[in-house]
Amino acid sequence: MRNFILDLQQLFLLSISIILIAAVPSFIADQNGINFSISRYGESVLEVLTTLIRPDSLTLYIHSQNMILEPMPVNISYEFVNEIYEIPLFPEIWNIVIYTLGLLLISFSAAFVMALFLGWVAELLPASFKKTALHISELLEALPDLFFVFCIQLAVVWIYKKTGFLAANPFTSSREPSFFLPVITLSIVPTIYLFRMQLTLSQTEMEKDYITFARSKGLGHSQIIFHHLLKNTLRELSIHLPFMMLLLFSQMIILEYLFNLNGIIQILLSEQPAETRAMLLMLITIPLFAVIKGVKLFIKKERVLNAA
Amino acid sequence: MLRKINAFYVGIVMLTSILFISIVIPNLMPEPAIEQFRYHFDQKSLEIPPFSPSSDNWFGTDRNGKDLFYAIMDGAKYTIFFALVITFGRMLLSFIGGLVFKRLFLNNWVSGLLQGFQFVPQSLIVLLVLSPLYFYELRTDSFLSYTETLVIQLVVLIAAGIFPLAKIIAETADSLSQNDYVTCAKHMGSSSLQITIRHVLPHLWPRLFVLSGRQFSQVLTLMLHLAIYHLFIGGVKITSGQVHDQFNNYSTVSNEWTGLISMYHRELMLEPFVVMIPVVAYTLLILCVNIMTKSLEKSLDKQAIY
Repeated sequence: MRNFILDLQQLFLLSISIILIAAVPSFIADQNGINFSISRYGESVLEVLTTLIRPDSLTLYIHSQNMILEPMPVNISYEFVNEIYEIPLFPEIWNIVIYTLGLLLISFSAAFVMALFLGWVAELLPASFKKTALHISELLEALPDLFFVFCIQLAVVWIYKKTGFLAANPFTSSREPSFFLPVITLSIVPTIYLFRMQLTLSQTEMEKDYITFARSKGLGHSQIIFHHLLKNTLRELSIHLPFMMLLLFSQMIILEYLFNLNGIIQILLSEQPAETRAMLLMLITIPLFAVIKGVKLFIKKERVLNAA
Repeated sequence: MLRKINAFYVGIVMLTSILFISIVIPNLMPEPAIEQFRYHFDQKSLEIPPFSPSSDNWFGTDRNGKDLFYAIMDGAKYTIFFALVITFGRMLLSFIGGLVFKRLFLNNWVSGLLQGFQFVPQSLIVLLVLSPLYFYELRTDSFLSYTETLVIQLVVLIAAGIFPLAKIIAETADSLSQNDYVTCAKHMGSSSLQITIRHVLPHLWPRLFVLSGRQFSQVLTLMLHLAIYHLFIGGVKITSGQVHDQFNNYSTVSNEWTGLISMYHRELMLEPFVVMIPVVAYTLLILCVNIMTKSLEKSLDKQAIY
């Protein structure tokens, strides 16, 4: 119960900090340019707070450029006029939020499962292979995420050009959203990160007494790894979950541009009122927060059950 | 023999030589003239840019005929320099902040408030904060001058990283002051300033170097993520042949690598080498920094054992 209240407090503080972040633009600039002002910042924080209490009053700006033709063209001339419509945020936004969250959470679970599986396989291999795996994962971890994105896009298009087989949709078009490739690219970097963590953690874990004891009792190697090692490293791994989520989210930002996805980031980055931005950020981060807490709780419960 | 050569020094030598070359070459060599086309008399064939890599253009040229080797060499110093300035600014401010407000950062409520930085990526924060200033279009010119642009970008980039970094430094300093000798010193009556200088700082110092190495590669990644959304450090030049914003071309003022990557992103499916050359250069830079940090970390671990 106490833990639950502590989690609620953390959740509350997280929402407050997101509101504070979303209001920062008003601290830096006003209509006429750069002009730092703390009082304006305070005002806009208050405004965001009061608007967020009634979510149905939130609005979404839709930007469009429309072509205007002169009624009697002397010579054919036209220009584009920027227009902004204001529509209510709420039924409109759900699909986009669910799409972005779906991408994030599916690639989170894919990365988690893949890293555990690879860690298990790597433990079964001889020690020299393990060392090479560690070195390779360290090298791969250093590569920028963009490198993977470019390579995957190029590879898919190259295969398509050579064989006419389109493995997955490399860009979102208006007809079909691409889902499969973004999930794969999103999960690569967290998988590598978690896999390396798993390897380094299991190195220290292998030397502990209970492993030696289990081995002396005559338990098989794969059983020791599966039953004892993985379960014990899981708890240590769960410390790194928030960082993994941050990795995923920050990759999501560039993937959305590179794969041309219709996600939440492009809405966040277009011109929107601060309260809408705060709401959108909360809609993404609070589920991520909940997932991390849930996974941690699950791992803890598992351990308590095993201990009893 | 080879083992004795520390990867750290190799990295330092490589970084300084890149920096040196990139400062010297643009001063000695004029930028190669743009060739609109090349006519080969022997084969009677006409070639238009992008030219592939050859003896004339070592890395080839882009679609406008700009020499990529020159651009990469010219941009190297800006990339490294901007990243260094941001890293040092962050390290300095969060070092001071982390030590002065150590108690505050360890507080449950304050660290809860800093969770926003744990869940919202820095690139998104910077983009959101700078959005009213930078997402102008072709028709509305930027109202900031070049230096103003640079200064506000650097300030926001530094500010976005201070809080999480200061928290890490405060936590490290706190775990260092849990040691027995610190408790002893406290009982002997030394002030907290004295303890910090005498007992905490000597152990904190090497860790700060590892931390700033990590920060450096993080800043480089951050710069790339910002560049994808056309926020180039040092300003952006927007040109367009058409009326609709969709056809705008964004180019860097400073040839800085992350900007080049974003600028040539359109070539990915047409002439992959044009974009892959800055990507490879950038990747090598990050690899170099990471290897340096790893070797520093290893020598730190060895010190801790003795």
